[in-house]
Amino acid sequence: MKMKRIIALAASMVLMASLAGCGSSASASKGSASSGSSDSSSGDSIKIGVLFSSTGSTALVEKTMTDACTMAFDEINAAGGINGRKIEYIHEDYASDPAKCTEKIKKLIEQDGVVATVGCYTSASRQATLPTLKDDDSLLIYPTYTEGEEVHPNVIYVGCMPNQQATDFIPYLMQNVGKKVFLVGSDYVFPKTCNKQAKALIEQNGGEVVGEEYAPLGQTDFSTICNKIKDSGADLVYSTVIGDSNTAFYKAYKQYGLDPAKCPICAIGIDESNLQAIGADYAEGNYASMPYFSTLDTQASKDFVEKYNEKFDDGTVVTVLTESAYSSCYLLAEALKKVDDPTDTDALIKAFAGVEFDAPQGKIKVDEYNHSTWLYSRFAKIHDGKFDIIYSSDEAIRPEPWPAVLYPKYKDTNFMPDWNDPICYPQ
Amino acid sequence: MKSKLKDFPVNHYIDIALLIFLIFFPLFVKTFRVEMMSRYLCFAIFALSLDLLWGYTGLLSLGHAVLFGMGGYMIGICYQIQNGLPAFMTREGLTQIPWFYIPLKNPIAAAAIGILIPALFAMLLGFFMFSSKIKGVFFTIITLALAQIFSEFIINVQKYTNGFNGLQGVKRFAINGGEQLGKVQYYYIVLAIAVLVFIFCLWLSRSRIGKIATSIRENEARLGFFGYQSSHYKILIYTISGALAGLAGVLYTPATSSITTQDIGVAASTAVVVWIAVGGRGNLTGAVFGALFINWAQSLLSEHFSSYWQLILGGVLLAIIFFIPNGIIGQIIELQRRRTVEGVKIKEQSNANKGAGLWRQIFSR
Repeated sequence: MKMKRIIALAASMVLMASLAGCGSSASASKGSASSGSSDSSSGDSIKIGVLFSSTGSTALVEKTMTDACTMAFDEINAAGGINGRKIEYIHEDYASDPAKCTEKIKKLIEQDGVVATVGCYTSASRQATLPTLKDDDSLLIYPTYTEGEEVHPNVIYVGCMPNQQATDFIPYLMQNVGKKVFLVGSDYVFPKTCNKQAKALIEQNGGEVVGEEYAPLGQTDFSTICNKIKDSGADLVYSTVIGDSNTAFYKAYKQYGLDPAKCPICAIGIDESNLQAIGADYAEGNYASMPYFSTLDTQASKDFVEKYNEKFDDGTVVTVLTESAYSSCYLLAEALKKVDDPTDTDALIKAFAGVEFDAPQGKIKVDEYNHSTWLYSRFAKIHDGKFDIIYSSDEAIRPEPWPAVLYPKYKDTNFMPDWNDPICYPQ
Repeated sequence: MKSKLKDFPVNHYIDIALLIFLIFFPLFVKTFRVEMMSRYLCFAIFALSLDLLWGYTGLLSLGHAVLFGMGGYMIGICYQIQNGLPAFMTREGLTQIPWFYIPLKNPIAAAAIGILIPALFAMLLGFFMFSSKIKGVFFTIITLALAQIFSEFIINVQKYTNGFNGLQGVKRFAINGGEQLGKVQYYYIVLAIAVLVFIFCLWLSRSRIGKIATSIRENEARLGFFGYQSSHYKILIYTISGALAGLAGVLYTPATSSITTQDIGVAASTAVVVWIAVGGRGNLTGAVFGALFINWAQSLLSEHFSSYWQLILGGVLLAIIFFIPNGIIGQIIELQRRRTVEGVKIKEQSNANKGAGLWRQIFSR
């Protein structure tokens, strides 16, 4: 009897201890991955969240984004920080799971008291943070390219909008490659929204859509689609396939006897890491459009790539996402420099209007009104497993969350509906 | 065995300690921790539903998150259609809300449907499987396939489900566009429901149905010789389990304010099996403890070791499953039993039990 009581007591104590850990961890606010400014006291420093997965299905991509943020914040601190105050960055891993993402953004804001967070990769993870950002009045800097048609007051979109990839790219393809276009995409929001715009642009430039196919997300069998492309007599394939499906698509494309010299794949969803996975042989001769390629031949770009490779010698490659995450940190730093009190989110959001940064891709700017970023338009032809840049816009192109080609009514209102309009963002 | 002991079982001390802890938990922590605990309590209800099926009846389902997801998606859709046609439907060319979504517009109705549909689905599936005498590994494999099919299905009918991105912005039962429930308020509601579910499961496990379920686990053939239709009882337990899993989903979605395909697939289904394996099967406390313990361990480890936490957790889980195959709570109960009843017979029996690895125990049934 006595023994049993003791066991019961011991068991309940173990239980308490294991669960109460969450209460005591309030004091230990720094993640182990954040090596930021260990010397400065927390009263002095400005806390910023870095929210990318280091585990789960998208960990590989997000690792380079975390690394880029680490690099940027270390550089900013080394250069004197924000008006004399150091940045303390706190990394959280949301394990590629949107539900975990909600939990982690709350932890960053409510426990760590970050003034803003750089993070999120998939649209699902970004959208999972939105209610929290609104409730807790905080700010997210989102570096991934996105499909647009969403502008949240508490998010700054540093990744490119579809118009920045398509408005120069499609006319070029119409003139130099061919007029008959076959649209291929993953069955997902991003491809479908981008293709809506692509179709309008193709028609405007005298082209013709000869087919449109969507493969389920993550599909690796493209035989049917390749056969349809073959039969359609297309001059080019405009691809919005995303993720790992690309590897299968490019391989099947060549195996089914389609020749990039006659009918190239022109993609807006592939970057250096996809290219590595596809392999030089299968990618040869195809086109891609992105605001930045690591092969960009400017001093800023070369320095950036060199710095990154020196610091993170782990087989990861610099992509547009790396560059964008890096720029996001700097844009945030510039905005923080303009405000007196970093914890004043409204002031910080206002400070973002018109903030500029000399990014590796060139001078970029956050739009004065629609929270998106002015970025360059570039496209490249793949040769020897590298992106050979064949076109760079002269200056950064204006972001159009609701592209004028589809929504002429928003042309005069900064390409977006009113902030109070329910279609502005998922409520 | 338990009825032979006239003493109060040790796991009920743990239940009471846990309940007291959960009642006072919101007083000592930040609100977002309370929100996390609400989520984990929903997982605990989910784990209880699987414990009835696996722990008591011996039917290991690797697709239980399907039933959880059905509940969750009903509430998710309910809040998507509050302000007219959601963007993902417009994008896919729908011009009005599909007729089968109309009843979901009321959150209370959606919650009821979210419990009913998984229960019906489980009943139907149970009917086909159990009346054709599918058991053991085959049941497990079918449920595993089901989980994969279901998440693919949700991803591919994005016209109706928003596919991979899932449903976001779910409110904590705001009715008729009114204010949603407070975070702490919602926590206590979830806690109260969790306690009721726990008591219900306790009652069920001690009732005649529960005893028959245990008999199915121990020796289904012999039960048949006594004239019981074991398939009827299996269908009944599966249906109840489905309803509870649906309930867990219904409560979970407002707690996270979103539901995505990550919450309903194979990974989510196996996670709950791990929680129960770690906590201990067939004693309810183990399911609750396992769900809370592992989820907190995940969150806290990932806060402190943001790149290695899964490795650490994996090591701990392997150690628990290897060294204490009964699970943590199972082992505590076992210890008490050994101390209380000093009979040689019991000792022999427990040694025999200990010898069998977890996987042997699962698949030998």
